[in-house]
Amino acid sequence: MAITKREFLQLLGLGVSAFGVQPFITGSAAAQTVDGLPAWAALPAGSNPKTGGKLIYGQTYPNWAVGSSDNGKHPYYWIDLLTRSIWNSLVWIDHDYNVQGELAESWAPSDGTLKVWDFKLREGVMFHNGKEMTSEDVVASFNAHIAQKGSSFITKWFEKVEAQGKYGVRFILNAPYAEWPYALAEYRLAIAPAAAPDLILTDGIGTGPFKLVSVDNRRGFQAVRNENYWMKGRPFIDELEGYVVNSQTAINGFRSGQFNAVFNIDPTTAAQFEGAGGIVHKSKGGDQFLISMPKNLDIAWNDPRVRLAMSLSIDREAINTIVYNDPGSWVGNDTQMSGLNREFVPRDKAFDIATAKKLLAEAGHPNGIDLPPIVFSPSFPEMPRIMAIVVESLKKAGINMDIREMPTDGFDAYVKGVNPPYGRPSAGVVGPRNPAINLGRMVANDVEKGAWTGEKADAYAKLYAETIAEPNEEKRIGMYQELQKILQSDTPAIVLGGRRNMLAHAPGVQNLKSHSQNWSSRFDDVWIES
Amino acid sequence: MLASIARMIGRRLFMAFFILSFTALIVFLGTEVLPGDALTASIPAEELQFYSPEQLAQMRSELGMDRSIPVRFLEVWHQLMTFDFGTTIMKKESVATRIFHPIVNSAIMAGLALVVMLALVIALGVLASLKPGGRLDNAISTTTLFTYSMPDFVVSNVFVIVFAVWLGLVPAVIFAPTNAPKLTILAAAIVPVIALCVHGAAYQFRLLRAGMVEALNSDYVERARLAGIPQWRISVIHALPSALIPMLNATAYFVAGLLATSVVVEAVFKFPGAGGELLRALSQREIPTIQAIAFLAALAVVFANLIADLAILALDPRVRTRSSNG
Amino acid sequence: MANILIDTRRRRLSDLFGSPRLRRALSEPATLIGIILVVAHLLMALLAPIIAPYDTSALVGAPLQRPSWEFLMGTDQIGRDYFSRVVAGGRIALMVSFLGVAISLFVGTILGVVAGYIGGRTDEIVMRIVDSMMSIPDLILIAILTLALGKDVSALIPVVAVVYTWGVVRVVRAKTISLSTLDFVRAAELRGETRLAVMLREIFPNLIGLLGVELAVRISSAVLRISGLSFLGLGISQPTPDWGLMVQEAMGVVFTDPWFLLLPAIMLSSLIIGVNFMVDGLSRAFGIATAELG
Repeated sequence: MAITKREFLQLLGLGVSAFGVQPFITGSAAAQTVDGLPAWAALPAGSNPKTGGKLIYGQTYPNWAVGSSDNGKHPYYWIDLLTRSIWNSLVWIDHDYNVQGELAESWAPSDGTLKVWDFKLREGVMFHNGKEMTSEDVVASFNAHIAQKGSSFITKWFEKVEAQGKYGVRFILNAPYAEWPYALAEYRLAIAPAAAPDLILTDGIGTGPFKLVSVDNRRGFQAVRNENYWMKGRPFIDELEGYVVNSQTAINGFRSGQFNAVFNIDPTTAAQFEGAGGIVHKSKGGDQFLISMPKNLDIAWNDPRVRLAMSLSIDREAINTIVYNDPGSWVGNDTQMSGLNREFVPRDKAFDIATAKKLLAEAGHPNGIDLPPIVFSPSFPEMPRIMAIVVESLKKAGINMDIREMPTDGFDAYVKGVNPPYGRPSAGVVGPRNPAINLGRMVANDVEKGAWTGEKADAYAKLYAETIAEPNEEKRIGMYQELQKILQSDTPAIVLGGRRNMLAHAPGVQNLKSHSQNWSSRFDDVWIES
Repeated sequence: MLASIARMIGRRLFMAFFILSFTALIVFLGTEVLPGDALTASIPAEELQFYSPEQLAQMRSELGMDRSIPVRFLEVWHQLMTFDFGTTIMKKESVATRIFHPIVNSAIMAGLALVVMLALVIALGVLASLKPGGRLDNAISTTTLFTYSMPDFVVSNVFVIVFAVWLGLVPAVIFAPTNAPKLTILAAAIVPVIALCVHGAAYQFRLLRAGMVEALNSDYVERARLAGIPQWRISVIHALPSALIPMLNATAYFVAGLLATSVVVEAVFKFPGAGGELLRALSQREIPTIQAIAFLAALAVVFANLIADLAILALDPRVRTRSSNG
Repeated sequence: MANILIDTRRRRLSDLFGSPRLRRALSEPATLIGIILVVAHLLMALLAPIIAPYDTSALVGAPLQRPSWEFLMGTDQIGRDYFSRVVAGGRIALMVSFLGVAISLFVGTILGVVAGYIGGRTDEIVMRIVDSMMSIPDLILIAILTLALGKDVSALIPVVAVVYTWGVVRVVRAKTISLSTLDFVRAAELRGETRLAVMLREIFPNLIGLLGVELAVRISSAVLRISGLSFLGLGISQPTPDWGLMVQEAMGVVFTDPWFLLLPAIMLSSLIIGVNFMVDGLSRAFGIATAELG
């Protein structure tokens, strides 16, 4: 698929989508506005939002980077990952995993090499300090994000960013990357007013719906409505406060009326909120739990049949039912993709103990098998319960494998302290993203791929590089599906299940939704009925 | 006379110096013989994959983690002894600034707990000793044993549910920021302090009661009794001062226990104190912070002990003439 | 220990269980209750695998069921039999505490006797170390050591040992000092026995009652601390049943299913109450003064 720049621009100009330029004009489509708002920001039909009120939320999943800084005004060290209360990024991932323009109005690659990307910025966006946001601020912000290692998903490709007039920026990459815009939606990649490298991003000034009043990044923050928010008429609520609490304190705070919302509730505790009149909102997805298995050591799972047998023995439906009370909801296929990705390819049969036993027998373990322990650190409250279910279901297929909880502190060092760079067998969480990021992990992430080598691994890496350089979206989808089939045929890693992010809110709180990407939650469309 | 007091205080100060140095060593050994290191723990797992080992090694050497252990210990010792707690590992922000308010808040809570507990213990101790083995004594002794046997984390949680969620008397979650006005902190500390007392008063009470019983059996109390002085007066004025001494002798142990329990209580009440800061630092291996908090906790214990020694000196003239026995 | 009652009689091992004293102790209801509770807890910990109707980690039913004949205390959040878990919830903590405290008694007794009997500079050094170690709040010390040694259950044993040794040294030293002045020790010295022999044959037997008290008291204290650590997420972890961990899990459903909190809390409290009642009664009966609590 070679396409010259001239041909490409021609196609663009003609607006023909048959050749797969659809993705490039998606950004432009997002520029359509309704009442001065992007189309994606429209409220549900029939809503009658009220202005005023105060949302005080509890958050059980803090930003783990907080402890490494005292500056709670820096988006990287914001109390939780929900930075869109104060800041905006260029783009936002909506509840259906689509890229939507936030501070960027539209974007397109400048040519078919997919190495140069142009973004058109929204005009008239004001920072909280009264200054207008321009290309200069965006360039300074991204240079800071690169210098401060804001997101691993962009550093690998980023070469430079430059202003193109007052409202345009151009990213120049060191390799083709067809899905570059998606990577810019990360919660850390906030846009802040340009400043000296040691000052930028440190003052809590953004373009977001709320202006920061005070923050104690160990505990909570208070913010008030940004009257000059770029979304006209938003936000609806006057004040926003958030506090980082543990699961029990969240319940106590909600039941005593101190909180009118709690983010990331432990699914088992839903009844404690509902019992006090709370409404629980579940997102369709959330982080997934992945077991990485180093294959460079002499372990029985070096045989792909054993790995497949392990996967087939895990009763994911039990996890869906027992932990999330949500049967039939999550499907996975041992890639970092989930059933919510439209490119997702399911396994033919994901839970099949008979086949698992047969595979084990073929691999020379007719009487079952003992495998080395897997370690994990419980970043979400329900994780220990999920691991307990997995251990029990593996046991039923004759696979004895301990899954051990380890302290969060030093967990990474513990895992990587041996067998570099693959580390010890471990279970971790994987955030749900687009296929380019999801499937790229099995190329770039040493721990997750766990010394996956051989013909299939080589073919996978090669196909992945081709895929993200492929401008035609239809073709890319096919290639992504092909990549998943390669992974399924060799099972280099196993995905145990996926979260449903859940929040609880008081009945008066309207339109507050849990996002599958917890960090992409918004507050500018929420209102409170008195 | 005055010289012997001065000598004793001098000796105590020297011992305090030794104890704190040794504490610094323990804390250093405990935190620096770690299986992992602080650097990798502070980078989110998702992000870490893209740092090369060379990058990490460079960051590590910038942080001074590649030098020899004695050199690092001397540095840590010097820093701790001069209250220069260094900077946090990741962002190089002043640890002292970071933990100042949490430490002050915890000191307020612990101070309030100490006062409340002493008052409670003295009241109970005197009451119980009015008639040793009597109904009141048995009731108090048994009750304190029961309350002592309730785990601090259970008591605290039940307190939150009863006083905050059911009765609505106090907030279930303390919203006060770490740097809130100290009166706000004092008010927020009331329920946690009651929870602390439920668990912590029993130990002191038993020491005091034993001391009271012994003192009340002494000759001079007997003489006072024969002189017709009322029982409560005998208890408070004649027996109590000497009965306080065994309790004061155990001050170090008591204060250390109080600080340990307050870590748990702070966690449950979400009190903005050093306990929460310590737990966070532990989970993130923020070693300078752990070192500073452990050191300050030990300092508080040593200081409380010093005060207790002075109190003993004031209460018991015999001690002044005797050489201190540690 | 401020007020050690001094029993001037030279005691031998066989005297310890002198039956009149034991009978007197058992006649007090609190002591009897204490002993019964402690014995019940020990039996339960030892026999847990036999008593528990189900494997503690097996998923045997729907989650959060109410008590029934099938599941005597219902099922937990993932459908494990709660009765089986409650029964086994003290095993690991007790075992870790027992082994850790046994080590600390061994080391603490040696240090305490040597410091107390030899005195002088040795005593000074030992006691300054003891003062230092006891100045660090035990929970902080445990947390730091857990960081250094890892969170594995077997790593908790040395942690417990390190934390509890110093209190033992203090108590044993005080008792040794008071014993050293007594006639039977003086007599042995005048007979020309070596210091080692005096310590082993004259002093040590007289410490046994005290050490028994120390063992019980420190174990119950360690169990309480370990469960506190587990509650904070620093101690024992899933799927091992542990009362501290169970209290922590139970807090998530406390408004709908309060007995999940009550059961492990009662187990933990009854163990501590039992130990303290027992120790109180027995030490009173045997004249071993103690104000220390577990």
